[in-house]
Amino acid sequence: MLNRRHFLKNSLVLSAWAGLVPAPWAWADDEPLLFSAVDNAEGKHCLAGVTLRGELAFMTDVPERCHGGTRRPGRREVVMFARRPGRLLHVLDIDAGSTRLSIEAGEDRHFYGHGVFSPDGRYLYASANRFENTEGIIQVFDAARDYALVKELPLDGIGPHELRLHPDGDTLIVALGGIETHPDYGRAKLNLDSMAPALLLMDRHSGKILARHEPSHHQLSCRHLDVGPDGTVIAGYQFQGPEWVTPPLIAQLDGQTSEFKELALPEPLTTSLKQYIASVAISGNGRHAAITAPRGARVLLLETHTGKLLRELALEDAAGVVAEGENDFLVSSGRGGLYRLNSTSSTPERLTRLPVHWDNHLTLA
Amino acid sequence: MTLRRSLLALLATSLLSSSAWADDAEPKERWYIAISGQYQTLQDESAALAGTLQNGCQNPNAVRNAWLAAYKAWQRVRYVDFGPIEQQSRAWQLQFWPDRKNLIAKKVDAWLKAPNPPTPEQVAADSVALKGFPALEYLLFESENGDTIPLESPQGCALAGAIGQHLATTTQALNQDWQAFEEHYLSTEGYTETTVESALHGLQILDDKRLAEPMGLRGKSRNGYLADAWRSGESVTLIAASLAGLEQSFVPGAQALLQQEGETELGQELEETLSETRALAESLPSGLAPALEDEQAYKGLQRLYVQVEQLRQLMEYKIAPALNITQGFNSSDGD
Repeated sequence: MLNRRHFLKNSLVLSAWAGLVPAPWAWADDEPLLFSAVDNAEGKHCLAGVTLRGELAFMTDVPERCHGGTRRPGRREVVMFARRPGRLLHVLDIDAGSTRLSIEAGEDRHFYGHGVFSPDGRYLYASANRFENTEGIIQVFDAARDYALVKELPLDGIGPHELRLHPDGDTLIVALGGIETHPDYGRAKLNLDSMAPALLLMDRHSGKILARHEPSHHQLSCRHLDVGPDGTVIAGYQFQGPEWVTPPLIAQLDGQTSEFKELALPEPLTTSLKQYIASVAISGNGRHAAITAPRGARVLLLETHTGKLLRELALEDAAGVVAEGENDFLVSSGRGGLYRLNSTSSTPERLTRLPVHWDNHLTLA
Repeated sequence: MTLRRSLLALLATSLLSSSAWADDAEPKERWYIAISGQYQTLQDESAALAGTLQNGCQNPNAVRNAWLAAYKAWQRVRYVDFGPIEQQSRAWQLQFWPDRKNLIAKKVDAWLKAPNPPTPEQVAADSVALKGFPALEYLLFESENGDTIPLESPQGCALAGAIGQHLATTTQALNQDWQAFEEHYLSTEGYTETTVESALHGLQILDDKRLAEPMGLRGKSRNGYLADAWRSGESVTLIAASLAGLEQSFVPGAQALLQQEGETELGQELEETLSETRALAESLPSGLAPALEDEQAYKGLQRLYVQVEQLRQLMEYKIAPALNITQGFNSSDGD
């Protein structure tokens, strides 16, 4: 309690000028919270936690803009990652409401904004760039030893982005974006002509690449994904080619047959997405997938196994999405809104609107 | 006399008819045509620069003039951040900026020391820092002893020629792709917002990155190396060209759009504020970095900064809301 009260004081000082008042007293000790990277109204980069009722629980400053996060199994801990070319990951202590630890990617390395834990919560796998030779790698950290770097697994490719753990507990599913960047060149994309994106399956123990699925066009950057309880993967692309070409932006890897295919959406929907999928989440029961498209200002709902489009919902700057319960999704918007979406509902229910810009991913813990 | 009168009459008629036609045109058509003109000029000026370089480097001033003319043509259309300019990171190829690690010097110096100068193909395959106007600027203005410049060596001249060729090829492809983009731009929903956002974004970059940061107004000390074209001392010239470019290709379409929304006065205010700001930029000394060490000149920059802030606020707080346009967070800079 001391921790939380102490934290409350800090939060109030921090947020007085931001027009935000965290309410740490409003959440119970074991209540789930949603975590996200946000920019506040002044453009400062922060990490925020909110209750599922939409109340701000805490907010803390970070030096670099962050992106995705992941929950540590068995602990009240969440790790949030800087986006490229950022070099820090932050370990949040949920009950204290503060950053417990910040870890650097190491010399000549930066993160890509995503990571995932082993099932026992011991090892953290983070996508990273060894940028002197533009080698995409997975960095493995030991959470039991204050996140000491244990090893690095090379991916034989450029630009890994989001990764998830297969329900088998042993296989990492890695979206390889294929885009070369270098911190000296800021966010410039350096290899748009020669990209080689893929959806990779990797043995997390040996680092062996078990499968490599390639998108139908070399400029379809495979960036985000989620995996269902039966191992079916839905992945979202960002197309780096011309605006007037509209390739498919969603791919599916069947958990039973291991067949990889792309899902074509009807026109003019594909065009309206403006080549860009932000976030993917598969529902708790595995039946539905929600996909956000901020440039197209839409959320799509698909049937996971058939790939059939069930609904498209309008949402300005639709950003993060995460599954909640068996059948629900929570969705954020860059405009500040946070929504609950049922697989069967036709409109998202707004939980809150805060004066922040939610980044593209939500983490539930 | 008669001939002159009839020519004037012809000119007046054509001006009248083109403006009468333009009045009826949709905002997007106006934008499309005006931007087409700017890409054409960029192609032409870049071809002229490449041509000048092919004639040799005995006259550095002629090369500098051709370089500045082409660089200004790029500044005029630099705000357009959608469409074919996004292909192959073309905007970065034309102008690698800001260059916090002095990569331009590293990449150019490496070729200056190489046994043979690169072919245009080798330039195309090399670092983005080697490909554009700033790399040429290095060859044209960098001078250790204040006397000779790299361009005057055979290696420097050949390297400049290859970069000039690459620029000509890139801007020609850009112009061709923009022409092919016409139907998609005019018939696809959302490009009205995209175009307004690109102008706003261009002004934000001008304000924050091209002026405020080098001037030391964003929490860090003054740093002339953050300005565009600091080596040549043409930073303010390029800012003036960017403002002129917005006047040329953004304002007419924006006015048509604002008129449709019953906000004609805002369109007028935009034109006036932009014109005043551009005129002020044109009246100032051309360099930004030297003005950081001269309080009198710095005051001039401050006046420009205040004026640019006003212009940005007009776009951000009045015009964009009047058009119901909100800049996205993830939709404009997601990952």
